[in-house]
Amino acid sequence: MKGKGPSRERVQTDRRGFIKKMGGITLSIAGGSLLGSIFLRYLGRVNAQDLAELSPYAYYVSGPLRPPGAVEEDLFLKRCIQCFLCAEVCPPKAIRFVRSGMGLKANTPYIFPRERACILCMKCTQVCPTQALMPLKEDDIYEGKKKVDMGTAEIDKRLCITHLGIGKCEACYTICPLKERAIVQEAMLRPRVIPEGCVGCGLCEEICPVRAKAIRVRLPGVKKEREVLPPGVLYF
Amino acid sequence: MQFIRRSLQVLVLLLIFLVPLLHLYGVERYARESFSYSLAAQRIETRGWIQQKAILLMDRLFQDYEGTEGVISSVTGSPWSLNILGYRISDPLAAVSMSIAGSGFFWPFITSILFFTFLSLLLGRVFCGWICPYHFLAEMNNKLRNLFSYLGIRPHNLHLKRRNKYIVLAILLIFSIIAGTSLFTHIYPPLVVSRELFYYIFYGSVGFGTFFIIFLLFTELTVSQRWWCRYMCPGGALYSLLGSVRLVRMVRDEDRCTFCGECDKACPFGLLPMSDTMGMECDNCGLCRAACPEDALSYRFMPLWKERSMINERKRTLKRTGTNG
Repeated sequence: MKGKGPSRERVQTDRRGFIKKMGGITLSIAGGSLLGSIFLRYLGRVNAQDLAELSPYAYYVSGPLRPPGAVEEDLFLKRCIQCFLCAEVCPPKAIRFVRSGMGLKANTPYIFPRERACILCMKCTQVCPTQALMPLKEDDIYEGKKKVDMGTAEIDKRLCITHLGIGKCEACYTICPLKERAIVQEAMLRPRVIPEGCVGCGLCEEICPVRAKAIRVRLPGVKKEREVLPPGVLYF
Repeated sequence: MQFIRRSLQVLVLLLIFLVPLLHLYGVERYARESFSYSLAAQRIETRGWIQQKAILLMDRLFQDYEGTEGVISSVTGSPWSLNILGYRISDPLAAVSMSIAGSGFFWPFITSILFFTFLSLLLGRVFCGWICPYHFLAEMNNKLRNLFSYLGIRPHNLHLKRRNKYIVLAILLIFSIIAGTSLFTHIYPPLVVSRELFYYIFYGSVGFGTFFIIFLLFTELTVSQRWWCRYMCPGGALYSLLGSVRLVRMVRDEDRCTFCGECDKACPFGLLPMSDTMGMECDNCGLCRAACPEDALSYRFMPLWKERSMINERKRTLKRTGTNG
């Protein structure tokens, strides 16, 4: 009586194949994590806003732009109870939520000014139950960075229409709620941002007609990309 | 009593469904008044069917009304953290997990949990049976399960340890300290249900929480009856701990009880009212009282020590005479 089961050789080859397969998987995981760690080293240094379209995960890890009045990131995560009150009262629906599966930051609020910018109505800060967003008044934006510090707008002279001399745009200057405090016009109507006055609402980034956004909001504590990276890397 | 409980549950479900729609109407009003080009994209035409109908209905309701802004801002949030007419009501679990994660004690928020805390100290785990939106869904799910049993399809019923939920609560609190953020927010069903409803209404998409809720309901239907609320829920564990000293209790009248066992079958948490072992997990929902054919069960004003002495007395009588009562 001969059984129909696999022969001894067959089992051995299967086992060898299995070991090979597992080895391959292990190696690829190790290599991937090595490359990932090299990539993540730079995440804290470059502007997360620019990375958002490339990789949402990189955006969330390196710190999304929080609503106005937010305390620093560590304390914010401790205080936020993810009750979505801030998004419910936001009139332009600028506040959105980090997706599930993005680690501990999942379901916390952020603003993506490229698509919908904050109008600085400060309703979210007044409704927050746990002071993850410190309560602010609408007039507090005139104090500048001392009261409201979401980030700082930064003009990219290589993309800006007015700076290039192609045309005269004035869109960011027109939309800014803090004209002459946060943004001024120099010769030939070229815009210049004053970092002390800018609160980082992102209205200029939203309105900018250049597709890649010639003016962008940079998070507080994030260095200029040209200081840490060679030119041309992660630049789009 | 059951009618009041059902209407309160439906009211809470309506609240977490209608409040986001009300605020969506606020967004719509803002988009109409402003001239921003990007806001035109979120106008009514781009929304889902429910959202469109609700906005049209509210347009008709608020047609010639001056105080629309006041109505919209009067109520915000969900039972996890509710803002109603200037008063703030929050879940105790939110304050406990937030404080233990390292945010420090923020007193205005701690005072907002007093309502549910005192309710639990007085009436027991009433949040579960009377307010929790997931409990309502699970009860409906259980009715479906009973229908299956009636039709002859016997779903499996797995029993776990009742103390599991206290272990889950302790472990998640410890991990909240390590992680530096509240971990209950990802799995606490009343929050997850209301948040997913909000995501659907506001953004037209749902997150991972919906799959979590569907998973819970499906396993409660097929594998283990009401396993999340009975054995796992950390919020239920916290409310049980608060409710252990409750003053209003369900007490069995020995003279009337005929030991038919209907109350044991009716209890959604799998407690046994017939053998006086309710402990701290009773939520005073009154289902056992409604199921009793002899009216032997009733609400009594009774502190913890009195109940203990009563149960001990009954045990002694049972031992002495060999019969109950």
